[in-house]
Amino acid sequence: MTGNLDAEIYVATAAGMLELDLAPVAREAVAANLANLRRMAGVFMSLDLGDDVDPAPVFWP
Amino acid sequence: MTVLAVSAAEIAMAVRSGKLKAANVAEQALARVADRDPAINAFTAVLAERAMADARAVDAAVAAGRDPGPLAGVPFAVKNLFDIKGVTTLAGSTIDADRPPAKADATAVKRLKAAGAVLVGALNMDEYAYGFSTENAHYGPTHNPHDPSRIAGGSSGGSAAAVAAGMVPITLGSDTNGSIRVPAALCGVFGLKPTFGRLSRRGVRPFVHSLDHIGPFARTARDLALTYDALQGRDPLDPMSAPRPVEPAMPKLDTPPTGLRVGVLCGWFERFASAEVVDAVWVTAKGLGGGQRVELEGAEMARAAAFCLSGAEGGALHLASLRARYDDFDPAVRDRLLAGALQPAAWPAKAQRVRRWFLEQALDLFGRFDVLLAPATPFTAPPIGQTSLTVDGVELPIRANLGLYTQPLSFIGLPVVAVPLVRQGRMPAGVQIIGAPWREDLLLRVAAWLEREGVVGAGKELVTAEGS
Repeated sequence: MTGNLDAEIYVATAAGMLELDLAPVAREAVAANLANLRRMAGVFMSLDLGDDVDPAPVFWP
Repeated sequence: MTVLAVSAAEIAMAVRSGKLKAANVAEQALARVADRDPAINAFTAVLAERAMADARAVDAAVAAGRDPGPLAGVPFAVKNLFDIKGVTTLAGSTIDADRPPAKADATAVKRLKAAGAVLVGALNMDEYAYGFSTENAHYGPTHNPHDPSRIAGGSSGGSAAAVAAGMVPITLGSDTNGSIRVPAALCGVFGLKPTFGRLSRRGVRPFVHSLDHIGPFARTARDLALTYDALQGRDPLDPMSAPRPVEPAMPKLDTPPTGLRVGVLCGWFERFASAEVVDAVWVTAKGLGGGQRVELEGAEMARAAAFCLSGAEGGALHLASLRARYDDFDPAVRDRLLAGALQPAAWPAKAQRVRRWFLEQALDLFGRFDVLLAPATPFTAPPIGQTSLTVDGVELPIRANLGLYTQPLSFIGLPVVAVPLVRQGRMPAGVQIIGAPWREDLLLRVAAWLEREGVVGAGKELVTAEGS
């Protein structure tokens, strides 16, 4: 995953979408955690899976 | 010597035969908790009245010639994530302390009661189960009974510590990414994370619906198997309860596991591993006649995917509280939940497909091996309050890395027994014995065999010591 990202702007925007009123001081800590998630996602997002690989279900239909 | 120095199986046998009164056992357990828990902080609630009433009911059953159950008179306690009738389910938080008391026991609690076990109390945990250390910002840290300056692990730290300290012989905890296996390893006791869907989660507060499991802790493999058998059975009230029959582990528990094909997971499962835990794994393999090194492809991706999925589902679950009660969270938990809720949807969506793919990699290995071994944690219990430590010259954040080896396995719901190696002068280490789906019976047989051979075990010093 490449490119610059202003994580705090993302956090403020995304939080607003979820109607979370985050104080500016909180955005930094959340942004740091989000950066960690982004790093984790980078580990598996590029794994090429065929269309026949379904998600693992949460329920038994 | 206290009756609690013996196993749950021995207590049950004595109560069933009338040689021991359940009320006497309950009194001793309550006294033991009062004596030891101030130094350990495993319990958040002690239910003395209920314990004595339940114990007297067991004694009445015995006196009337009725079968009191396979766990007759055995004291137990549960992580404060499990509903207990008339008690508020804290889930390690102060926010949930404002909820009304539970209207009914969780299914697992009901089943242990039906087996004759006596509930003594509720146990400390990481807030909302989102942690590996039980350093709870509201209720204090749970201390490791082997060295109270060190963590008990988490998130079921109270459950592991209560058993390790000999306060009760069995407890229940939950495991989403390692929360049974990590504290079992750090506290030097046995823990079982069963196959996903094996044991009912009804009445247990969720953390990650896709990944939550419940399971027991005990000081012996036999006690673990006894408790597991009492918990089994499809629960129509739990939509994730698998349509499997009861498959008891006890009948063949003492049959030696001959001809086992043992794989020792390397690669990811050696990353950042201390010499102690690597040694523990190979000592265990040797006890089984040796093991072949084998790599489980995709373990790092599975761990990362579990990380994202946990954040997404956990964050979404607590969104209302994050809006309304922001300041009442443990900040470390809160900021992770928030980040999880804000991540792009594509990440957890892809994670669910990675889960399917990784399961296929693991099932392929079980075509060649009967059991796989791996360390439960990269290192033994660090001091309370320490945030990082250096392994092989690399500085690692402790909390995030305690679940390195457990997360990939719970991600795909494989059954795992964590077995303890308790050695004098050293902190305990734990080894994961991993099986194919639904093969808890084999894992428990292997654990029982290793214990009989003296390769693994919880040790007796903490249980037989008098006083705090």
